[in-house]
Amino acid sequence: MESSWYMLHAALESFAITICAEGAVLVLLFSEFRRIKSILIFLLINMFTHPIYFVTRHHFFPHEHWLTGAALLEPIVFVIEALAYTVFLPIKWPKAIFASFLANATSLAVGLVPSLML
Amino acid sequence: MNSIVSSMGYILYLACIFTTPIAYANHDHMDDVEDYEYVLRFDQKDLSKFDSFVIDDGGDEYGEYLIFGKNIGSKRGGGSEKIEDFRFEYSGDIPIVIWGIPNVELTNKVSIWCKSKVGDYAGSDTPCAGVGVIKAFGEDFGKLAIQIKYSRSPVLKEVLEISSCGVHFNKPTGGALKRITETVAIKTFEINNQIVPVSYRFEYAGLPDVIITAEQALTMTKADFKNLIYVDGVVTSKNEVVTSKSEVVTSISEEQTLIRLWFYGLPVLGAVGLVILYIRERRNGK
Repeated sequence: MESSWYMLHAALESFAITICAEGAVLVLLFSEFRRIKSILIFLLINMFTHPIYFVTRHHFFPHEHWLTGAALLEPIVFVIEALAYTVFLPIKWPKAIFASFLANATSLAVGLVPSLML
Repeated sequence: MNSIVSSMGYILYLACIFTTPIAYANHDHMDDVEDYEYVLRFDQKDLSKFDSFVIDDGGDEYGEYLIFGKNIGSKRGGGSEKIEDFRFEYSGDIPIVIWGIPNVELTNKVSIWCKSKVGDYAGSDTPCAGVGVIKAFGEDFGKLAIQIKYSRSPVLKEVLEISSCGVHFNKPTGGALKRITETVAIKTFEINNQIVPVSYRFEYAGLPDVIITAEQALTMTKADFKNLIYVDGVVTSKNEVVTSKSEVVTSISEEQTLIRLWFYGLPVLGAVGLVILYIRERRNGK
């Protein structure tokens, strides 16, 4: 069981990685995300999903089980985000799903790299 | 743009109103804190052969506990003599309940480093691979174990070089030290738990016990620790244990406020923001 500050630090680090990785993918590859409003929606969605994802994965899938947790929770997150993009942005749902899938896969991959290198 | 900024301002205001009562809901609840004592055991009987700790596997008055690993080699992971296996021992269990569910992580898991050369406790060359072994072992013997990270335990950190997911025994022991007992305070929160050391008792063969508080331990130097750990008959000090439970609880509660603000406030902020944007879009006739 980690100390509180360790957990908060880990959460902040994870959130920063998520925002940077997913944001980069969405802005660079999808023109629909190159607007202030789109970026705001992207941030709000991740503010909603990321802490819930982090706490759930950390609590129920700790340590060596984290990959199982990620495998179970990431699809849920990606669906929620795709849904939000469809609702709030002028983007069709197949493209929204693809964008969300790509963004979340990228952030997961970026998060995996340090673990695999250990 | 101005309307978006003002909307965000309202969202932030609402989120703060919402999360502040939650953040302070459990402030300084003394009845949430338990004192729990666990025992870190190690035995002297094979010490003469090795440079490092060897853990006893005998019974004791603490009841059920996992037995310890075998002797460890004189060179940790190096030379012709390799480490066989070794494990932490915990006795008892901490009945932590979060959200009405017993916390499996805390009551059923052990942190170990297991490198096994031969068989009884099969592991692998990868650190932390033996958690499965310990779990199975625990199930076979009906034992429960706990996992505690010693980042806040200066004494144990000195005594045992702690890795992020296991422990390494590579410090030599003196002839007299038998046992270190760490008393901790535990406080449960919605999101996580906090275990904070309160005091330490050092027990020696044929010598009086030494008890130091966690606060005292923080001020101790490496030389002080060496005097406590590598005891060959000289005891440096003895203090009465002071359980500063209230101070521990207060400091824990204050930290948890920020934690709660992040883990509760951020999703609320995001959700409320999305709702407001959605309502505005509908009004504007998207």
